[in-house]
Amino acid sequence: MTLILDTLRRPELELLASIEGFSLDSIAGAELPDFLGGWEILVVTDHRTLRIWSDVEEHDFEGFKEQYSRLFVAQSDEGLEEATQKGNRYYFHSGERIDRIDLIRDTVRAEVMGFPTWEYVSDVAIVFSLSGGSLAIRREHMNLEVISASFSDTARTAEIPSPTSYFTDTIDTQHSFERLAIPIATLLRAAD
Amino acid sequence: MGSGYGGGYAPGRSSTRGLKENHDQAARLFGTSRHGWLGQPGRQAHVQVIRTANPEQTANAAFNLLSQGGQIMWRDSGRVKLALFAPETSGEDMSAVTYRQISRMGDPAVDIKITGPDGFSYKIHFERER
Repeated sequence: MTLILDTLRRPELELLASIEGFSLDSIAGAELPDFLGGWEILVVTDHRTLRIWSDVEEHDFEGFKEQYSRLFVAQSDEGLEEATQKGNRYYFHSGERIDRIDLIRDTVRAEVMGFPTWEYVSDVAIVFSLSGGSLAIRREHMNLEVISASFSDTARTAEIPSPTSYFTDTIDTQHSFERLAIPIATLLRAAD
Repeated sequence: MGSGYGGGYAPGRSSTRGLKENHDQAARLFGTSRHGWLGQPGRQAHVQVIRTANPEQTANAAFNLLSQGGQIMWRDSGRVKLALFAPETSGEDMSAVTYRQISRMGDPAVDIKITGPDGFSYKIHFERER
């Protein structure tokens, strides 16, 4: 069986872990509209600014070449000044402490003619649990580089919608889906 | 990630409803087949094909029509473009159109995602006529 692992790498997990315990200032993006969607979002904290973005990579595990989006994390405040000038900086839940960060990791499995054939594992959302709510940054499509941010007054790893995808059941191929919410700290410990 | 970013906002329709209207207009221009999708069925269930003398020009024209009223962004010197449309209701996904100058097949491609109860998501490959 083919396994495709499109998950955040350890340096990206470490960057996320580095802002746990610090305060959220804002989220921003030079082109981030008020419905908080695009292909990159800056998370500004009182420690550092992280850039979370999505891009596509090509795979052929389905029997044909297709693009699949992936989340990336880096330390960067490029575009923050422009975002601030354009009014594309949003201060919801500003000043709240980032208590914990979870990854929402989805696994899609395919059986072809009844045989397990491939398994695609990818991170679909990053959920920041805040002292007064939560911020989720998530992929809205498995195949397109579209991400969005949303705030809630409650913690809500269980409420993150599944991304749209091009996975389609056919007469000989069936897909199944599984979801895990995993604290960043747990992932880092497991990788040690 | 690319050699630059940019974007713009065309005032007016910027919600999912706007993209649906754009899709209806594009349907009159490009024709439809299964599910009311633009073009003819491709090899995969999510892929449609439009054959044309100038794939890049036609793909650009399709994106320009579909993206009207959306929040438009680009990168890689315009080789990848994205138009976003605000959700109709709170908590719903955005609707989106992307343009890719070179797709996995080597031709330009446009992806469309329209959210809501009658929503759909598919890809159009623009192939050169033979």
